[in-house]
Amino acid sequence: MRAPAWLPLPVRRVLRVARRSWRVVAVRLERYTAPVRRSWRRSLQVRVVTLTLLASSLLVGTFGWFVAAQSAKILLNRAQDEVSASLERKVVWASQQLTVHPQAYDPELPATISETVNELYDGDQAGDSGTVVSIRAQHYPELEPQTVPAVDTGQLITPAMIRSVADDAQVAQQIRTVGINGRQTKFLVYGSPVPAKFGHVELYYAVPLTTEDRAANQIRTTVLVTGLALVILLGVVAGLVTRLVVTPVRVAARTAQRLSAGLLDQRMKVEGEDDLALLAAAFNQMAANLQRQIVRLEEMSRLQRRFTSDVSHELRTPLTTVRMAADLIFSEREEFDPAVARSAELLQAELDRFEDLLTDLLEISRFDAGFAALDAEHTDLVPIVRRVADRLTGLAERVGVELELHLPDSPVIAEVDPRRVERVLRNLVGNAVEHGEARPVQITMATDDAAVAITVRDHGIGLKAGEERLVFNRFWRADPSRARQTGGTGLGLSISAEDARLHGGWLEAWGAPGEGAQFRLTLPVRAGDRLVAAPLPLIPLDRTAEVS
Amino acid sequence: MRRRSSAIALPAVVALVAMLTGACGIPDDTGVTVAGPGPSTGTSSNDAHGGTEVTRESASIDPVLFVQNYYLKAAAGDLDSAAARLRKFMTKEAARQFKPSGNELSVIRLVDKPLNTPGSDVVELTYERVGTLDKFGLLEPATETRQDTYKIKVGHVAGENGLFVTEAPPALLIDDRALNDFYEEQTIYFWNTDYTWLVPDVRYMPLAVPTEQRPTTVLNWLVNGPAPWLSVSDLADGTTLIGKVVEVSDNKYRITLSTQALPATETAEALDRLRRQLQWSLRPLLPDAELVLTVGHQDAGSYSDEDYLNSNRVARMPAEPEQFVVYGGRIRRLSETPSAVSQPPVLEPEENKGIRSAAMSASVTHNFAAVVSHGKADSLRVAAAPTGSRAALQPVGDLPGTLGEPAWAITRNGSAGGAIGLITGGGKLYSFAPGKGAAHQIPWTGQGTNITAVAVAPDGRRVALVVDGKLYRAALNTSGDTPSLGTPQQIRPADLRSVSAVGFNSEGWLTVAGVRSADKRVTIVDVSIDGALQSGRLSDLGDKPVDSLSVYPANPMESNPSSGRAYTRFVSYSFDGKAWEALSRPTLIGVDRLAGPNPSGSPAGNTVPTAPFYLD
Repeated sequence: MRAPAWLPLPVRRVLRVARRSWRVVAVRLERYTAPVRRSWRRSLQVRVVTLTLLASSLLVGTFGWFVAAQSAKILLNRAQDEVSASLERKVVWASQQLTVHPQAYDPELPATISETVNELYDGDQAGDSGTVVSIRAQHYPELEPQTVPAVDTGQLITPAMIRSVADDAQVAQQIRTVGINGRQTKFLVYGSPVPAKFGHVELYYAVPLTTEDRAANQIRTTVLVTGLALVILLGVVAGLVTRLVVTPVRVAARTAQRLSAGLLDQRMKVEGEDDLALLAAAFNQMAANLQRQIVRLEEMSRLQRRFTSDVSHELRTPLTTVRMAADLIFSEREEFDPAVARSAELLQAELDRFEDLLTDLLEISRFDAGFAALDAEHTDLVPIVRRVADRLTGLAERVGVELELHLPDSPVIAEVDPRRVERVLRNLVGNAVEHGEARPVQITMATDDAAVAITVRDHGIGLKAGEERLVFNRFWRADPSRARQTGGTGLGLSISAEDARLHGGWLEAWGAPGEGAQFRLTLPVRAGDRLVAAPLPLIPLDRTAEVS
Repeated sequence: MRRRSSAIALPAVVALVAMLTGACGIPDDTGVTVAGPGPSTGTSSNDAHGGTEVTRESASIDPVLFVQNYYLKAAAGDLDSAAARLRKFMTKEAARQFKPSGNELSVIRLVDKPLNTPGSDVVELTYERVGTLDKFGLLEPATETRQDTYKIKVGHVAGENGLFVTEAPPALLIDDRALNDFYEEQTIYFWNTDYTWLVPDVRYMPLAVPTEQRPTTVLNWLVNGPAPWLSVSDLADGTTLIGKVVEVSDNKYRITLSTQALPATETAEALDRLRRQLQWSLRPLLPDAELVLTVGHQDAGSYSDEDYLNSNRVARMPAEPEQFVVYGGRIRRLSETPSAVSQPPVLEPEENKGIRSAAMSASVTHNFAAVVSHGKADSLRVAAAPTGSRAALQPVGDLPGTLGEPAWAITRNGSAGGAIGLITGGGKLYSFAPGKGAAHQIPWTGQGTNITAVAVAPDGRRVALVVDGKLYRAALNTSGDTPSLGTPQQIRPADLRSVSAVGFNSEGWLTVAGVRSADKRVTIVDVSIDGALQSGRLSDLGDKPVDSLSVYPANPMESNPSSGRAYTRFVSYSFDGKAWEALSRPTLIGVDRLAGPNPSGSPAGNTVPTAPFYLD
C-alpha cells in the first residue's frame, strides 16, 4: 500500500495522509456498522425485509419514473400543440397585417408592428395571462423590437433561437426559465418568421408553463408518495410474513436447545394444520422417540451398574469367609509340605488382588451410580505428596527407581478431598514406578491463584500416539502380552479420572514411545471454580526442549 | 451473500434517486428545437412609392421654379413626415428653426407667379388660402379670403449642389397644383340620418400611400367620422379598426372592427348598412373584391355581390336622363332622349300650360313634379303620383311673388309623403311638401341676404346655394319638424368674381356659372365641392348672366379610375331667355329638338324653348 518511490515527496506525503484518514474512516465505519452487519447475519427477517424493500423500491421507482416522465411529456406536448397552433394563427394574422407594407422603410411600419403585437397580445388575454408576444426584425436594425408586455426579453429569446428563426427561417421552440417581474417563470418560447413583402420579421410567442409545471410536479409528488407508501407497505408485509415463518422456527430452535440440554419433556405447540404445524408435530414425534430411547438406554445402563454393584457386594460376603479360611491356612503354612505352602501363599496373593478388584469395582460403581461425594476441606497438598512418595519408596527401591520430588517450599493450600487426592497420586506414582524401567521418576507440583498442578514423569516405554486417552479406559493395558504381570486392577486410572472430575479438575496424560510418559493432575484452588489453565505444562519441559 | 446484495442495492438506489429527482418533470431550460420550416416569404408589389416624392436634389436651381415647383410640392404626401421632407430642402440652421404651426397641410393658391428680384435671395409668394388638409384627407375650406404674401429665402450651401431654403414660413405649405398632382380624390360614404341613402364625403388620398395601405387609410377615415359640415350618421361610438385591411387570399379582404361597431339590437340591419357603407367606400380601391367583415372576434359576413350599389341614389339613376324644356308654357320632352314619345310624367296634360319653369324627380315608385307658373305673381304647384300615373297639381302657399327654380331634395320610395322640395323666392329659401300646403321658410345663418339659386345633391342632404353672388355649401337637415340648413361654408372658385347659378355635377364636384375675375366674362366651370380645384367647362358665354343651371349628376361608377373624378355629360342652362346645352361648346336647344308633334295653336315663331331640366 505504500506509494511508489518515484512519486515526488509532497505527493507521497499527501497520499500518506489520505491513506491514514481512510483507515480511520474505515475503522470507524466498521465499528458503526457492526450492529447492522450482525443483525444482517443473524436475522432472516432483516434480510428478507431489506431485500424486499430494495427490490420493490427499484420496481416502484422505475414504474413511478416512467409514469411521471410520461405525464410530464404528455403535458408538455399538449402545451406545445396549443402554442404551436396559436402561433400559427398569430403568424397568419401578423403576416396579413404586414402585407400593407411593401417596403421595410415604410414610416408606418413600426406603428403597424406595435399595433400588431398589441392586438396579438389582446387576443390572448381571455385564455391565459402571462404570455409574452414580441416581434423583432433581426434583418432590419432600424425596426425596434416590440414586446408586450414590455419586459426584457434578453433571457427569454436566446441568440440561438434568433439565429434559428431569423437566419434559417425556421419555426423553433425552446423552454426557458427566466425571472420576469421578480418571479422565476418557466416559459415555452416559440418563434416563427412572419413573411412580409419586403422579407420577413420574426414573431416570438412565450407562454408560461406554470400550470403544466405544477401539474407535472403534483403528479411526481403523488407518484413519489404512493410509491413510498407502497414500498413501506411491502416491507411491512414482508416483515409480517417472515415473522409468521420465523417465529415457529425460533420456537423449534429454542425447544431443540432445551431438548439437547436434557429437558426431554419439552415439546412444541401444534396449532392448525399447516406446514408449520406439521413441522411441530414431526419435531415432537422426534423428541418423543429420542426421549424414549434415552430413557431406555439410561435404564439399561442403570441396570448394568446395579448389577456390577450387586455382584461386588454379593461376592464380598463369601470372599470374607474364604479370606478367613485362607488366612488360617496361610498362617499354618509352615506346617504343610512346601508344595501346599506355596499354594497357600498363591491363594493369599490372589485373594488380595481379588479384594482390591472388588474395592475398585465398588468405587467405580459408586461413581457410576452418582453416589460419589466430594468431602472437600482446606488441605496442604505438600505433605500428601511426601506421604505418597514415602509409602512407595520401598517398592521403588525394589525395582531400582529413584523418586525425585520438586515441591514448593511453602504449603500449597487447596480446597480438596485429601483422601481422593492421595489415592490419585498413589495411583499415578505407582504406575510411574511400575513402568519406570529403573529410571528416575519426577514428581513436580506448582500452583497459582486459581489452580494447583502436579505432574508425574517417568522415562519408561512411554505411550503410543492415541493412547493418551485410552489409558483412562477401564481395564485397558498398554501391552496385552504383559497382562497380569504387575499387580494393578486395570481400574486405577479410571477411578483417578473420576476423582479429578469430581473436583472439577483435569487428569491428562502425555507420552511418546521410548520417551516415557507424564501425567498431570490439575485441581482448582477453590472447590467449584472453573479451571482455565494449568500452572504446569502437560508436555514435559525436557521433551519440549528436545522438540524445539 | 452480503457483498452480492449490496452490489445490487447500490446502483438501484442511485438509479432511483436520479430518476425521482432529475429525469421527470418539465425541464427548466432546453436547447432550440426546430419545429418546421417557416412560412414562405411574400413578394413586394411594385409600387410607385419613390416616384411620388419631390426631392431637393432633383430641384431646379432657379429660385422661383425651386419654390414653385419643388418646395410647394414637397409637403404633399404622408402628413407625419411632411415636416421632415420640408427640412430636407432647408439648410441645417433653417431646418432646426423650422417649427410648423399646426399638424395640417396648409393648401394655398398662388395668385401670381412667385417674385424674385435678381440678386436677391428672397422669393415672394402672393397667395390666398384654400383651406387645410388634415391627416384624414379632409380639406376644410378657408373661412376668410384675403391675399397675403410669404417670403421664402433661398441660398446655396458650400459643398452642396442646388439651392437650399434658408428661411421658411412656419407652415406645411402646398399649393393647389400639388393637391391636384399628388392626391387622388377618394370619396367615402356615410349614411344619412334616415338611413335611406349614403352621403358622399370627399377626401384626398396621397398618392404616396402604397396601394396596400389605402383600404386601411379609408377605414381609418371612416372611423374618424364624417366631415364636420355634413349632417349624417357616424359609425357607432367606439368603433375602431383592429389591425389593417388585409388581403387574406386572392382578392378577398378582411376588415376587423371592434365589437362596438354593431349595436346589440337590430344587429342585422346595422350590419347590412355597415357593409354597404364599407363596400361603397372601398369600391374604387378594391373593385370586385370580396369583403370579409369581422366584428370583434366574430365573422360578421362575407360580401362580394353588387347589391350594395343601390344604396347610393346617384348610382341608381338612369345613365341617360329624361330631358325637358318649357316651350310655350308647356313642359316638352326633347327628342332622342329616353321616353321621348311619352307625355311628360305626373302632370295631367290639360294642366301642362302657363308654366315658366319646373323640376321633376323620381323615386323607385313615385314621380314628383314642381312647376312655377307666372301670372300676376309667380306661383308654385306640386304633384306626386306613382310611376306611370298622373296627379293634379296642388298649389303651395305662403310664397313671395318672385320665385326661382324649384328643386326636389328628398323623394321617398313607397309613398309620396315625406318628400321635400326647395325653392328660392324673394331672396329667401323655402321648403315645400309634395301636396297642398304652405311652404316653410328655411332660415339662413350665413353671410349675405339674397338667396338666388339652390341646387341639391342627388343624395338630398347637401345643398349648394348662391347668396349675393357667392357660392355656399351646406347640409340639409331634415330631422326637425321643418327642414333646416347646417352651418353654411363659402366656397371660392378660383377664377370667379361672382356666381349666378349652381348645380351638382357629381358627388364631389359642382358646376358653377359665374363671372370670371380676369375678364368679367360669363363662364361655366366645374368646381370641387371644397372649392380647391376647378376645371373649365364653357369658357366664354359673353357678358349676360346665366339664369339657371340644370345638371344631371354623373354616376360615380363611371368615374375616372386614376383621378377618382366623374364629370357629367348633361349640363343645360338658361341664358338670355333661351335653353342651352353645354356640350363641347354652348349649343342652343332649338324647336327642332322638341319631341312629338307641335300641338295645334303653336306659339308664335319667336317662341323658343326655355328652362331646360332633367328628371332626376
